[in-house]
Amino acid sequence: MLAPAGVTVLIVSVVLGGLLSVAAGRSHETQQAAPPEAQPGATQEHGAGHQHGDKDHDHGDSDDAAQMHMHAPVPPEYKSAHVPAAAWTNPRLIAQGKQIHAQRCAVCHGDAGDGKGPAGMALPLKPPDLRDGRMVGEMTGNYWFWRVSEGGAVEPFKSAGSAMPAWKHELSVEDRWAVIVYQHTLSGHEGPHVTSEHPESVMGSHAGHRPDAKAGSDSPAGGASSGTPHGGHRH
Amino acid sequence: MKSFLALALILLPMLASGDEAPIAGTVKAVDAGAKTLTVEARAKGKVRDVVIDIRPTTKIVRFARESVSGQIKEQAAAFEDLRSGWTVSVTTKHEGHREVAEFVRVVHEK
Repeated sequence: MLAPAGVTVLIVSVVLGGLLSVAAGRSHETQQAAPPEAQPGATQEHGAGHQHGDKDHDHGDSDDAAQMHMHAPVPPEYKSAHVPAAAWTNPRLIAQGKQIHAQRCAVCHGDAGDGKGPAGMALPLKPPDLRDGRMVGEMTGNYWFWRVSEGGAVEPFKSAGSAMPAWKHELSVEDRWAVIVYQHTLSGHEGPHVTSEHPESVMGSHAGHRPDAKAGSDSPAGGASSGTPHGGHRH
Repeated sequence: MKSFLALALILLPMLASGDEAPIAGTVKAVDAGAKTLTVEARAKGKVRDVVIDIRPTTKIVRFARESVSGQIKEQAAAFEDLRSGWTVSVTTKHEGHREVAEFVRVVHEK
């Protein structure tokens, strides 16, 4: 039996959708290659392919995303770039990091680190919730240092749509350590960034995942060799 | 029939809001004459330059604290304030083949 009202509405919606898609597609093709995120439905797709539990388990973005929680192998030049063990509980450094976070990071990450800063809310790829103890527990110090240093300027985060600045151009190594150790406290951790302090994390259960136990090098490329945090698997 | 109606009611708002996902990226160029921004936008495996028209109706804001310990608030800005290297998030609409900015938010001032 025909259902005139329902069929009519459905036809209208399909036709309208088709017209919108064609219009959007034409515009993007001719308009200096507008990005995919400006296309219909793209915002949902950002998160959809990057949730925990995906088949290929390839997350989106660690820094930029509660929705897109991506881990990627730390590149060789940052393998040794650990945050010094003593830094995690250094009150001076934590206070210094709090100031930097307020001045530089909170606009996107929020004062509380919840990812709800006013600018972050406007991004297609939302910042993560730094209060998430599990996520924080998964981030080894050199991984974190890499993310803060390079932001969204490097792959795979660049292609994923991260708008995070590369802070290495504006913050010294110590300032980056400071902001990391401060943000570490936002997840409720007051001790050092070690497995015993992160019982909720899976950090200790993966080969190659280990918290920072070694003193950091002064530069990302230097210092002692490390394990392969985040390098042994892809979430 | 009810399922058709439900489907249509779900689809219509989604389709109608098709153009509204923001474009985020680094400002590569500011053309004062043409009143356009070129933004290096990143998403889904691609990095592309998008030329965005700025109109008198375009709202442009940056963010600052009301006071040292105050909340971060939007502050009105002008097209002339925008600089290459800054990170922006731009809500746009399509006008013909043009990408027209409705709302420009300065995320980071380099």
